[in-house]
Amino acid sequence: MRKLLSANFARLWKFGFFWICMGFMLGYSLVYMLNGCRQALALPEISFTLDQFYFHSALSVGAFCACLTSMFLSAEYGDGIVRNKIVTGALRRDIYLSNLVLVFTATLLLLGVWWIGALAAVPVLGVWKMRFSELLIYLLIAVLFTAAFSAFFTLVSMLCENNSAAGVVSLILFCGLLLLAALIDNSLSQPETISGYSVTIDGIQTVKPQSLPNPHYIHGQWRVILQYVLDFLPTGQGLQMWLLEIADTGQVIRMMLSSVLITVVTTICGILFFQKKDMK
Amino acid sequence: MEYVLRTNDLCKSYKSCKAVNGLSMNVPKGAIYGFVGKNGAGKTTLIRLVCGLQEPVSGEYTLYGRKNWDREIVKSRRRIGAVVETPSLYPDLSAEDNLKQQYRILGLPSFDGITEILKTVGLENVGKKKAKHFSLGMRQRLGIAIALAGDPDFLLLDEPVNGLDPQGIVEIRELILKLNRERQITVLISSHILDELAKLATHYGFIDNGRIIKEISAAELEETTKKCVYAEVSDTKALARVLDEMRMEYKILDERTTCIYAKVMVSELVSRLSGEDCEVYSLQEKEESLESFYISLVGGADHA
Repeated sequence: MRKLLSANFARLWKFGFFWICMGFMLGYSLVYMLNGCRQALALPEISFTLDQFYFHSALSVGAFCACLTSMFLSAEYGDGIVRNKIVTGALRRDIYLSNLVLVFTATLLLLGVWWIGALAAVPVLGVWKMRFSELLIYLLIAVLFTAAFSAFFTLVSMLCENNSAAGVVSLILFCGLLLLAALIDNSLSQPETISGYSVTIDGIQTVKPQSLPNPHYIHGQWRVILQYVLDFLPTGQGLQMWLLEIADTGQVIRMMLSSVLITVVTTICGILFFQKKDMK
Repeated sequence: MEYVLRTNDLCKSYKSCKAVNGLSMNVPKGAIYGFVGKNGAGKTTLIRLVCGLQEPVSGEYTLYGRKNWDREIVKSRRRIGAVVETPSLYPDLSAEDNLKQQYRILGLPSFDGITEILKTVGLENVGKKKAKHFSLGMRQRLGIAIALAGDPDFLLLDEPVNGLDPQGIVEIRELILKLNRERQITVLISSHILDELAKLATHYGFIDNGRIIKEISAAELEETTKKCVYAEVSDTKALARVLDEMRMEYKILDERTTCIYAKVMVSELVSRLSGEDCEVYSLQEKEESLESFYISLVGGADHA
C-alpha cells in the first residue's frame, strides 16, 4: 500500500490536469470573493460577511472531484497502469484504497486552495462572524463530504474502464445529486403560510391581507424524512453549508455520520466489485 | 524437468464464449516458449489469467510452485514481468521517469538499476523525450524495460512484435535472446507470426479454440519438420529399391512422388534409377516450415 501511494503521489505531482484544476480553483475563489467585496463596497447598507461567501466551494467541489477522479483513474486504466500494478503482485484491495486516498487528498487540496484564495476578501469583509468552533465543524463536515464524493467517484472510475464513460457518468451523477438536493432544499424552504391579497381603495385598505396556509409547505413526517435525505446527500450538505443552514448539533452529527457511512459502504462495495472484475 | 508455469485443464469464458477451454501447458525453466495460435485462439486470455488480471472459471495453474488459488500466489507474481497487448506506460513521462514509477510501484529502495535496464533495451540515449513521442518499437522496448524492473525470472510477452517494422522485429528478437541467454530469464511469447517465433523459441505450445493441441520442443519440431527432397519419378517401386540399397529414409507420397529424408547425391541417384529403367522428372529440396506444421495440426482449410 505504501509503495502504491508513493507511486500515485509521484504521478499526481506530474499530472497536468490536477494543476489545471488547482489553478482554476484558485482563480475561481479569487474572482468569487472579489465579487463579494465589490457587492459589499457597492451596498454598504447591507451587512455582508465572509461566511456568506466562504463556503461556496462546498457546492462545486463535487464536480471537480468527479472530473479529476475520472481523468486520473481512467488514464491509469487506459495506459495499462492498473493492469501493471496487478501483474507486479499488488493486491487489488491495496490498488483500490491507494487510489481512493489519492483522490481524496487531491480533492482536499483543491478545497484547500479555494479556502486559501478566499482569504483575499478578509481586508474588505473581515474575518468569519461564526464562532471558531462552528467554523471548525463546518470545515470538518466539508472534509467528510469530500471523502464521500471521493469514495463515490472512485467507485465509478474503478469499475468503468472507459475514460469518457467514467467522466460522463460521474458528472451526470453529481449533477443529478445536486439537482435532487436543490429540489429538496427548495421544498423545505417553503414558508408555512403565505400572505393573502389586500384591497386598497383611494389609499384606504378595505380588505386586510390574511395569512393563508402554503399548499406547498411539507408537514410532519415527510418534512423530517426530506431533511434527513438532504443531510444524507453530500450535495445536500454542501448546499446547506453554502446557505449557512446547518443549525443544530443533531444535524451536524447526522451529516458527519452520513458521509462516513457513504464512504465506508461505497468503498467496501467498490473493493468487492474490483476484486471480481475481469481486467483487459 | 523444472517448470515455471503449469496449467491444468484451465477454462475461462466470456458470457457464452469459451476463450480458454481445458488448456494444459508446461513452460520449462529457462525456455523461450513460443505460444502459437491464430487470433482469438486464447493466447492473450491465458496470459491474463496467469498475470492475475482475470480469474479462471475452472482448472488451475501453478506458478513457481504456487497454485492460483493460494493467497501466496502474489509472491510468485512478483517474480514475473509482463507486457500484455500494449505496453503499460505513462505517455507523458520520459523512459527514465516511467522506470522510476515502476520502481516506486515495486517498492525498490533506489533507482540504481535504471541506467542498466535502459541500456539493455537500447533506450539509454532517448533523454527526456516523452513516451508518447516514441516509435512503436521504442514503446515496446520500454514496455519490456518496465517489465524487467523487478528483475523477473519469467517474462510474459503478448505479441511483442505486432505492428513493428523489420528493424523493430530484429531488435526485439535480439533483446529477448539476450535476456534469455545472459540473464537466464524464462520467456513466454505469444504470437501468430510463426517465422519470427521459429528464430527464437526453444519450446512451442500450439493453441486452437482455447486448448493446447500440441506441445513440442524446438529440437523435436526440427526432427519432425526436417528437410526432405521431393523426387518425382516414373516408378516409385524402383526408387524405393534404390533408396533401400542406399540406406536412405523415405516416404512414398503417391505413385509418382516420394519424399527422401537425406542428403541426396543427385548424379548417383539418377544413374542408379536409370539402371532400373526409371525416369526422374524432378528433384526438389523442401523444408517443412513451422507454419506448415501448425497448419497441419489445426487443419489447413480453415487456417490457410
